[in-house]
Amino acid sequence: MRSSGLTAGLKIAALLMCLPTAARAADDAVLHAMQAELARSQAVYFKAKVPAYFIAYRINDDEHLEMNAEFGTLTNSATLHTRSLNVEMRTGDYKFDNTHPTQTPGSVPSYARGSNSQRIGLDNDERAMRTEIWSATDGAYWRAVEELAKIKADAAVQTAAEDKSDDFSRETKLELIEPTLDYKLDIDAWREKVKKYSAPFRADTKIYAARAGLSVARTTRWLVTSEGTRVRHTELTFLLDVRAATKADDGMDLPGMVRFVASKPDALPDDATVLAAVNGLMVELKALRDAPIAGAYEGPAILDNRAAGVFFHEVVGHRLEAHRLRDESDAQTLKKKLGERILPASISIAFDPTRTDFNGQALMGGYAVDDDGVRARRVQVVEHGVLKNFLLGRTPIEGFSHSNGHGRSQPGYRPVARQSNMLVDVEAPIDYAALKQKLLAEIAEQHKPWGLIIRDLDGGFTETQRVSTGGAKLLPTMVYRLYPDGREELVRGVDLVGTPLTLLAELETADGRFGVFHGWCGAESGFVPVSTVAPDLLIRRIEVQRKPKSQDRPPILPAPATEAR
Amino acid sequence: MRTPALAMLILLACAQTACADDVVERAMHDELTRSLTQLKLDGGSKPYFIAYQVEQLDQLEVEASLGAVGFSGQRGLRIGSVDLRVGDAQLDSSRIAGRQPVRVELPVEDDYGALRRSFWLATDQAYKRAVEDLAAKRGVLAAHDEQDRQPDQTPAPVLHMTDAVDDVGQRTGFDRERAQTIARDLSRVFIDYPQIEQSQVWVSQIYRHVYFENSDGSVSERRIPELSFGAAARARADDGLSVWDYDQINVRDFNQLPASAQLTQRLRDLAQRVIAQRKAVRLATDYTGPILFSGKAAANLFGGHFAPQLWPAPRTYSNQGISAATGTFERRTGSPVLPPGVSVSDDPLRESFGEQALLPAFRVDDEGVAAVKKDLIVDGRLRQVLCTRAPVGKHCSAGNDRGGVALASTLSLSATQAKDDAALHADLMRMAGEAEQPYALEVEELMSAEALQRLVSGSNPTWIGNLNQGEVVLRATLHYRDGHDVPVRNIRLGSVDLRDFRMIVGFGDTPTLYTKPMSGDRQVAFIAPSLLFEELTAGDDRSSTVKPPLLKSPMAP
Repeated sequence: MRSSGLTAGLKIAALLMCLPTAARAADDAVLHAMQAELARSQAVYFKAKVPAYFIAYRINDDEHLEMNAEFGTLTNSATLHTRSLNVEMRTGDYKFDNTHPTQTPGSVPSYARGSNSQRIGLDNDERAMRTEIWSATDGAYWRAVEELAKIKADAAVQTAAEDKSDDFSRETKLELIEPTLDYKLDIDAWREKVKKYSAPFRADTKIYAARAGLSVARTTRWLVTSEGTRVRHTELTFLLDVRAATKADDGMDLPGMVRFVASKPDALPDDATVLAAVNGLMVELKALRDAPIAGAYEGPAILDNRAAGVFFHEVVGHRLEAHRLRDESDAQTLKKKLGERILPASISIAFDPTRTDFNGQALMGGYAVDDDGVRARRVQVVEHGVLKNFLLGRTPIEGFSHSNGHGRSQPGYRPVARQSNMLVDVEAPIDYAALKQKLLAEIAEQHKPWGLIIRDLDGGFTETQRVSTGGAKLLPTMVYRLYPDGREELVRGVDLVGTPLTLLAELETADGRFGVFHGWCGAESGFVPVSTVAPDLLIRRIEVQRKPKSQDRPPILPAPATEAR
Repeated sequence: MRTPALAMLILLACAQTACADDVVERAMHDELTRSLTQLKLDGGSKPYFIAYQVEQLDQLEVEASLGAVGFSGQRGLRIGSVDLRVGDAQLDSSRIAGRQPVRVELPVEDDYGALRRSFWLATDQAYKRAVEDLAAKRGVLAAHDEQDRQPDQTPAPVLHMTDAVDDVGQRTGFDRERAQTIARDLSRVFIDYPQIEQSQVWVSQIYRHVYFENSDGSVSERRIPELSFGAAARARADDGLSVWDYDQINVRDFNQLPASAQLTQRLRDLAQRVIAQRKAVRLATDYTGPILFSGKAAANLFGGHFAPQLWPAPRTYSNQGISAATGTFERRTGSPVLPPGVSVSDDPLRESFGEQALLPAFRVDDEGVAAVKKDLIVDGRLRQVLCTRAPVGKHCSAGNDRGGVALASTLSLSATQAKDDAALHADLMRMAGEAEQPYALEVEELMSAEALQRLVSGSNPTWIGNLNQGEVVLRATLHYRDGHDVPVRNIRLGSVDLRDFRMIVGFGDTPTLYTKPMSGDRQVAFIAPSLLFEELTAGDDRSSTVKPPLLKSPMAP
């Protein structure tokens, strides 16, 4: 069963200085090797008995620097440099090719067949790289030949798909050679910092896990295609995460996290800011430990902005990713809603990979060109509550024959339509106090003993296939009951569940207080970084259910009295 | 009941004052002592045994092809593991099916407080699990009849042992630049052979620093450097099928590696072997008859198809009942398992084979038990099997725990009736004649899964074919009865079972070493002479049907 999920926790990072180097393609050995082999391959595979019609070479150079500390002590510090090659080979033609979705029960769509990449040399040695590319190309060609034969046979015995769009869109070729980015990092200083950020947790002996981690990721991506596209671009990501977990007396694990994202090293928070956040996290965890368990409930709720962002990502965003909307096994929830109102008229949603920050906060879902070699662009998907557009890679759907720059993938996977920076906007917003008043009014109108406020969460996931419930699940960490008298009470142990159309129908309004959630979104083309920017949201009716819970008791012995040693 | 300490054995004395200065040992000792005396649930029993291990692992991996580094990674980490048992040595909480030891990633810094905190939490988890497991095990034993039940843990002498901080490994340390230079430079050798379609050269270095302490009082500290240099190369025959081969050298550190000129020559030899294989013939019909395994192929076959019987895993307990020990040797002590005159021994104390280092050597195992040489098969009859402190049958003694399971270190097969190559070859040809075969088959090299993994860098290319369809033979020769020899390629062995080893009819007089990882990354060395089997089968490898590439290699002239 396919599900797509947003998680806050795959990576971590932060940094000091980055410098662009010259954007010259002429002395780029990687590009040379790719183009030389592409020319040879086109000359042979395009004229083969089963001719190829499209070849793309992707090389991803990933340099990672990670360091983690727990309770004030360094647990690891490592660098990793890898370079991978992925060959995309298409046989057939734009209309019907070897990636055509087959309706055979149990078959896996071509875009969901997992990673197909291999290592390639780090040394920029053209001869070595060309040999690797040549070897991978031949394997990719024979796979494409086999796939096309099978898909043709399937098409002959199966009913035609409802959506008769081409398998691959025709796009304008793009030449974009960006400068690579260098950076310098005072590794020793940052080791001391992550130790400093994880040290305060020693003071609470009931916090059983605490880790501060810095992760720096520099990714350079090269793409050359037989259509003439030639791209090189570099992304730098700096993440600083602080995670901690405690345990309630009944065994429930209670995690918490603070995260800082920066696109520039000098945008990272200073010690005072991080330590204040650490202190806040410790206070929250202590409060959670003593909080009562909440049970199943349905009724009105406010989703604070970060939670609202994940809500929109799971409930709306994944149902706008176009490649799935031609898949006969997908529920295609929003496909026929084009032009219809799906949200309150005050709410609009855009995806904008060209946006690098929101109010000074760096966003993670940005890029200049997508993984199909199509230039990134802003896409207004919902305007005044009306569904206007979908997110497209190079897999067209009925009425949408071109990409809008959202073909994305983890290295090694075939790009499909994925989310980028999701920007939820609200017209004539009210303030938070007014939103809370509206929640109180809903509580009274629905005769509920309380409403809920979801202040923060760890992520979520959704299921879009017909065989599944089609539901979404959000995983809150900080949930408060709001009583009719205005009193708030922290509770623990519930997840938000629901199906998309019902949840969207219950959206009432939003305020103007925006927040950002950063995460890694996992789906058919692997994990990609995304951000959501959303306001606080009032929903007339949500449903929560009990979380799964560990039955392990807290530790029997007290923490060792180590300070004496 | 606490296991009695039978004796105090000091191999290389570690003065308590010196040890006490070590933060890791002090943190382990203090938390172990506290847990042993204070850890107890209401109504539950206290632990009767606790063992802590800290493995500090520094690892360097470099791979290069055609003069370019493709991967270069270095990491350092510390893993702590806790073996905690409740009950007593006769019946304790161990060996519940599917249970793994509690492991935890430890701080890499020598921070006493952080290390104790980690052990505190890991011990708590292990204790709660042990209480549950003992109750579950008692339930299983109440409902099932266990024949020949033995104690869950045998006693072991108290041991104090510390490896000296010697020169080997430690002196040169980890030199990433040097490893990259070696791999990069030597991988250039294959540029001279355009027929080689794919090649990989690797340098892999591991330095383990292992601390151990248990509640019996045993304490050890070991330092284990390992360095592997290897290469693998693949070419394609005219029919599209791939042929490949490899070479690997295991030493303790860079200083023990052969000189660059020697390594270069070995890689050239490898390239030429692979290129020659392209022109070898394929088997037209399946072969059934005598097969001579020579060189590393004999040790590889012995290690892969016979040796694992010598370290059966003990019984486990689950809600399905009591599982039997793995393998068939548990109850065959005293029975013939190899031909008369053949003996097999395991010697963890042996440190070299000729000029080659035996990486699996150890003086104390992972349960803190002193290593000893053991004669496992004497004159063809099984005398004992290898085990940990969890006995398997009545004929095994502890001392072979490697990563939580019993495993050999250096396993040697020897025969009293050994023959030289000429005599063995004559026997082979005579038997081929008796089997009315026009030729006899000699297998010189079998596949190494480790080398294959390096060659393909973790990908799964179609040229490999189905690895489950018989043992892959890398190099073999057909010896015709009229005296001429023909190299043969792309063949796989049919099944080889334990009975076939009892039917070995000839043994060479020159032992060869083959080392392979057997359980996780634990290496086992196998030493065996050429082996002549009376009758086995082999056939053409039909599992790979890849067509030749449409495009010539960019390296091709």
